[in-house]
Amino acid sequence: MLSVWKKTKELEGKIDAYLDFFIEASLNFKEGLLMYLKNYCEKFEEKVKKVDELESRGDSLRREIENVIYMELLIPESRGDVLGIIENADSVLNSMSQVMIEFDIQRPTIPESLKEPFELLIENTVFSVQEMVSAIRMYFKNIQEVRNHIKSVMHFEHECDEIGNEIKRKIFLDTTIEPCCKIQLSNFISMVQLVSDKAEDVCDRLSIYVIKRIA
Amino acid sequence: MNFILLAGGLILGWSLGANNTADIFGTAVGSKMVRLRTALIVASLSVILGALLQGSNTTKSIGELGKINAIGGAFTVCLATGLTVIWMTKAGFLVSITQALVGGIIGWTLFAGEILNVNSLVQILKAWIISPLIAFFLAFLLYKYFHRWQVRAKMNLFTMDYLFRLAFIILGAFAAFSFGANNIANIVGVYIFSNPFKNLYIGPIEISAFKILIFVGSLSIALGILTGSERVIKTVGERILKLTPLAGLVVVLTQAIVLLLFSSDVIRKLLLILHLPTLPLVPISSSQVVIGAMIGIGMARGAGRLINFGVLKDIVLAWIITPISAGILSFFMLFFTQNVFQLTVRHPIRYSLESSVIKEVGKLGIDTLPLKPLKGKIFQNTTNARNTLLSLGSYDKNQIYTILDHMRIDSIVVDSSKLQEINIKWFTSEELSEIKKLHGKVYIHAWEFKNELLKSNVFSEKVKNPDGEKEFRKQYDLLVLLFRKPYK
Repeated sequence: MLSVWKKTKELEGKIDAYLDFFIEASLNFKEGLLMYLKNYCEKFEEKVKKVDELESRGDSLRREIENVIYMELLIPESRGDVLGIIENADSVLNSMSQVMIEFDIQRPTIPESLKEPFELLIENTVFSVQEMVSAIRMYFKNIQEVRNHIKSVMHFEHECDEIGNEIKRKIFLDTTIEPCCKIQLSNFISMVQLVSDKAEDVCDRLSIYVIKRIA
Repeated sequence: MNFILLAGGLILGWSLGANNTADIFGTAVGSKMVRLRTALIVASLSVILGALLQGSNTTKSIGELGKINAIGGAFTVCLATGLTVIWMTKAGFLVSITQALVGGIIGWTLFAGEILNVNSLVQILKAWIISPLIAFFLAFLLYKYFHRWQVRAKMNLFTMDYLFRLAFIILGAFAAFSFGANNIANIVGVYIFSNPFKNLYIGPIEISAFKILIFVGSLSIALGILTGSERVIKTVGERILKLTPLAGLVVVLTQAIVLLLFSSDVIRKLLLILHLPTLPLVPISSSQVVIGAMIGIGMARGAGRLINFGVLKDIVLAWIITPISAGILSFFMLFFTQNVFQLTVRHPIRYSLESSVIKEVGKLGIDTLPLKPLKGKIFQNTTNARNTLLSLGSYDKNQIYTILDHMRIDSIVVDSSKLQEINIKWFTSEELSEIKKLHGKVYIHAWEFKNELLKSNVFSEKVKNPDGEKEFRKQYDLLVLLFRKPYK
């Protein structure tokens, strides 16, 4: 029984470490993009590498967690749900990494007038990811608290939608921007919006799993 | 020969182990909280420990099976019961060994032309119906309570998971321990007075033949657990209703409480004090309790429609088929054992109605006037004696049973050396010395032996209080079984 306790605690630690990657990646995501807006290219490139590294480390830790849960028959009652959460959350990490890589490859020019709302979009995106992580942590530690964090994620996702759409409107109204750049910028806004959308998807699943545990 | 006859009990032990572990660990394994291998090991060790440490207090079951008065009969009944259970288990049914055993005993009673104790049979049947109902309501309430606690407890998912696992193993081991203690009598009870083993000396340590017999019996249960229980465990754990760990735990807890309700004298007294209806202290089927509890939980979860009623129907069907088929099989096997293998499966019981019997019956407040014309008459078998008493038209079934009990011709030969065969713990040293004083005496009727015992101060003082009286009755039953001649 002691070995089961040890393995359970190890699994708990691994899931916690996996969620820590999200926090770290989201902070690097924010800092990286702010650097990009300020044209600090070297610092930005560093952050791109960092997020990419966190993404691949997250992938291998996720596989490890999946193996442990199945091989050691841990938390049998919730293992399907936990795996669902982990796999879905992974797409958030992937999206953040993808946004950074695309910025690195395409290097779009952000007009000065759009920099402020763009910063706001990044901030709200990061908040949504961090609240998603808190919701997941609470799912393991205090199920009654999950709902509050899910509500926050929904709020920030909505904010991202509003801000993103506002930026897109401004882009297409701006006559100084080339049409091809308009399309490119709009795509970038959509890519950033996708991060909070994915965080919301995770929370949608999470709310079902909470009902399952409480019902 | 006795070693061969012991095989009947061991086969019964195997089927007991194969079947009943599912009641204890089925839900834990089904909800994947305990690995099958862990469950099997914990269950088999706990069963052996339970049988060895607590298994001596099995008077009741011995008395119950003791009605079968020939070792050949006991062997055949055990074999028929075991075979029925094995057959039903192979077919994937969850069967109750208690039910099969009761069926087997009824088969012997009918074959031997003995009187079926309708009262106790009705009590047992009532308990078989009431126990799953109690389990249903209890599990319903327990689940509701614990579920609310689980939601409000703000406990870490991982810690809760671990606590559940721990609770499963501890409660499961405890249940298996009690299971071993309570059921060992079913396996070796009838062999205590024809024990094929001798006392074993390992250096200065002496292991009594009685302990060896219990150990061998418990090994047969453990072997049943290890080699035959997997399929039934899966039936309980997976097929009826998919269980959450909490639900599984509630099932084990309900099982422990309900079994205690039907076997604890203390609880019975408590219910009496509180002016609540009491429950009969009879052997009940843990399988039925488990099924009742599972349905209760299903309802508490508002998932009554998720219950697989097809499987449930099979289980209820098995409850009906088991005792009937065990009874029929036992009846026919007794016929073959007696006529083909020339083994004695019953000792015909004779009855006499001499004046001392009439006087003794009169002391119990039964009107003896109708018996007077029959004074001095001897009856060659139970059917004859019972029919004659019935034809008098003056007595009800209970009174006839009491009169027959007093009329029964026994040959109680007090042989104090036989006391070594049983567990001395049941008697104080003063009581033992009183019994030894009667060494060599012969009694025609068992009640004469009882009266003789009560002449001594030790026993007469003891029966003055209700608890002492109850204990004396158990001791007396045991001594009668020990000293009764046909058991030689």
